[in-house]
Amino acid sequence: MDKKHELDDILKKHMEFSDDEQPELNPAIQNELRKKVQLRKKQPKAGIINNLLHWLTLDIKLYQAGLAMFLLVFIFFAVSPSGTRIQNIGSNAINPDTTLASKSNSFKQDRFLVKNFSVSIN
Amino acid sequence: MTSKYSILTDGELMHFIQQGEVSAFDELYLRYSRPLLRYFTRMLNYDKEKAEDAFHDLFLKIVEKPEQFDKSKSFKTWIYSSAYNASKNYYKHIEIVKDALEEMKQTEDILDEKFLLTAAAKMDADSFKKSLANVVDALPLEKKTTFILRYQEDRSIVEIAEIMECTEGTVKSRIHYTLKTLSEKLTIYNPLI
Repeated sequence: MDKKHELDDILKKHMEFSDDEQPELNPAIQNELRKKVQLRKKQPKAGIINNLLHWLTLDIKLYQAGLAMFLLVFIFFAVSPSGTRIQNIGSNAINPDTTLASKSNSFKQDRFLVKNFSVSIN
Repeated sequence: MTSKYSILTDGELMHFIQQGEVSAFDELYLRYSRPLLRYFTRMLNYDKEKAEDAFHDLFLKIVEKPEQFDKSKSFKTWIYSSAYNASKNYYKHIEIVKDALEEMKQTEDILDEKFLLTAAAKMDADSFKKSLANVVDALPLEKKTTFILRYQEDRSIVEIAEIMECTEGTVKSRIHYTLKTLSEKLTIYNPLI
């Protein structure tokens, strides 16, 4: 086991680079890499106006437009049946609410007439 | 002069590099530039230009895609693993060693460590170093990487296995193979003859 360690040490020693063998680092490489790291730094947040401008110039993708259209059509069909019914009732059928209102109107008119009549007696 | 980054771990430095901290990069570069350039120089048979290219590409990966660093691994293992893969691609590309990916045959021979030690003692340091360098240079990629990581970069067997994604047994067997080759090359110095 000692021999193994001794051999390991010898091999490590002989695998070392001597001073004249040491490869030289190129400072240009380091500078280039430093610049690339610097580019990763996040820019400070833009102001409200810039955000607004950014929002106004947003690119809308085709699928987003499609999705919005689909949503609009869906909402239209979900809402439209009740609207249509009201229209139909107004034009063709007898509206019970309107009947009741007209009934209540005539009742009011009758009361008014009776009131006037009693006034005229007095 | 020590910067505040000098006390940070490699993983922490990678975190700051992701955020664009140049000083964190400087510290990491200081720690790994020389060993990695030495590694590539040896791996690429002392071709300075090619070693520099490989070294540059590796550090470019660190600064451009630091998120690729697997935090579950140690940085040292990750960086040497990337360096190994870079040299592997390079070897594939230029076909320096055609049998680089050849399966290693398990050798049952018993290595005579005593012989190697005596030969090393008998030879002058320069001759031994030269013989060793010649043997290492001529090795296929896998064995060469193993040997360089073990004896030049001082990595443990476990670390090498992790870097090269193989078993510890394979690492030991590759080292054994290289030492056997070295013994054969140094037969002329055999004190018993």
